[in-house]
Amino acid sequence: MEPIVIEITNLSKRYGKQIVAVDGLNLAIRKGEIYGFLGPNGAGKTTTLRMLLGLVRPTSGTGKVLGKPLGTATGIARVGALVESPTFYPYLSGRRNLRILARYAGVPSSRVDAVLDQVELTLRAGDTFKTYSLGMKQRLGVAAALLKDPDVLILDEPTNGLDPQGMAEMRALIRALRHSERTVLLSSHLLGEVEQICDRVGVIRHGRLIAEGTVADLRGQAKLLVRADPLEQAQRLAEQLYGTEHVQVIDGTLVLAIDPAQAPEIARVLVTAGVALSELQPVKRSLEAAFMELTEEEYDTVGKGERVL
Amino acid sequence: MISSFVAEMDKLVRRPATWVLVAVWAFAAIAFVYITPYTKYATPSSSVSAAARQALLTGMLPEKMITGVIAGFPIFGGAIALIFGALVVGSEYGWGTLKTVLVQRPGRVRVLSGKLLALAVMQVVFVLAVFVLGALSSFIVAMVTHALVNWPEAGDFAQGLGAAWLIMTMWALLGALLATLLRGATLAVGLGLFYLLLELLFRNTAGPSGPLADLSRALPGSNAGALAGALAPSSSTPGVAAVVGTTQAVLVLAVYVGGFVLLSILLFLKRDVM
Repeated sequence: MEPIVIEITNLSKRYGKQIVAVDGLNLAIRKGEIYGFLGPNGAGKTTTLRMLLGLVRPTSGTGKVLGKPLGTATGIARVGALVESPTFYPYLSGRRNLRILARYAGVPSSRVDAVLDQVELTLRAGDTFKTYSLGMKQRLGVAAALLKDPDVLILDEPTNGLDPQGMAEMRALIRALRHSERTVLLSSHLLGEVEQICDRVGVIRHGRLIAEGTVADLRGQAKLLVRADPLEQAQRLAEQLYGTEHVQVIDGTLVLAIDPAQAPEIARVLVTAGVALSELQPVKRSLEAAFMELTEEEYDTVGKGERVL
Repeated sequence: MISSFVAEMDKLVRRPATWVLVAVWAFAAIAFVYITPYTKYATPSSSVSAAARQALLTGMLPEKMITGVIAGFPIFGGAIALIFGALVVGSEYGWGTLKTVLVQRPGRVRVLSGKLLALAVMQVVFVLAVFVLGALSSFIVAMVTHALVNWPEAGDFAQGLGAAWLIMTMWALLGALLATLLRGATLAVGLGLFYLLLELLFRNTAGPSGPLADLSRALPGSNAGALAGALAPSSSTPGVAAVVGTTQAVLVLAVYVGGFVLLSILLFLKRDVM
């Protein structure tokens, strides 16, 4: 088993007596993992990441990054990060901004051209930062995070505010950053992306970790969606086969909480009984639906949250 | 700290606001010390006596160059330095660039001490700009009026440059402290300039003796004014008066410089970066 590179124990952050941003959070992320850090706005994700990077002091709790205590310069020596929106000196070019950051990081300036190339920003690197589009600013932010060729990469909402094309570009970039030695902690609202690239996902709400596991764990059991006529007869037959607890009727559709591999069986039973079967479709809960349920948002689980396999 | 200092210098040298402030300060100083007096001198009127005209001319000649320019540093130069100090630190909060810098691992003490050192070094530019333009202006006045060109001694130049740098650095570091405290430039500039005026008013109302006068003699502006006053004893510029000795003024200003640096670093270390 790979060693743990990010470890947080009972980490809390309070502002005054009323506001609890992070409340006894525990996390353990292993080397080489792509860990998705999810939660609604104000859940405490960014505060947690800021504490990992030493920008915000924890009220209580401890943690280590690459074996070094949180908040120390040595602790983030091999960590690259993009926290919230990318912020740079507006009057300097992208390249000059990175050169200045390279000085602070103590890395050779040759890394600047390498990371500009990596994020495909070389052609516009000589332009001032204030003339960049949001997508270019985000890419420059990722370039800055890569300057140290980090072992741990922390990306906080890297797709924030991007248009569909910008999102697609950022998706491709994040995919390209993955390699076996690098651990990535990705906080994102782009659940489809998290679903595709993350090994494990943690969901945070009100500063507490409310769920953690692989994407498959969080999605839960797949379902079978059945449209049949008459519906009442189909429901009765399904309940006889699988039990009432596994059968639901939602918006005139039969939803069976069973393994989709059992589709031929229910089809045969319904057709044999003379029920007209118009649709039989395996559905799997998307990460988005799981996220919404966990964070108690109102959500139409059939209409939007389910995705056809 | 050296890499942080070099990075900071790189930013300051390329920042347009730096050169705008240098230009504004240099123009204002030359306008008050040379352009306005020369206009009065060159356009005789019944309200200006011949003796007053001669005094105007004498004040503009190279021999009096240091006396002329140093008087502008405690209040007017101080205001510019304070704005610059507040901008250098406060803009990092406004742009959100502190987090971008700090996640590169340099450490908070290194970042801020590099920044404050660069701020102090940049004061040399502000001082030299006024001294060089002052020397040039006084030389031109001497040429135009066919007066003798007698420059102050090298030691006087060194004293003038050193005093001006210490005054400017002290005010710049106060601006930096306020920006660190208030986590931004706007309020820091406003409150800093308000303090500068308030202190001047307080010194004028405190009188020459008594507890209020004693208190006023401990304030940064009084000591800046006293240091300039020692080099320009006959100056009528507001805020310039030798209310304390030169040694005391230098020591008090040095204590303020050290205090502002220490307080800024302590605050910066203690507080969250949002």
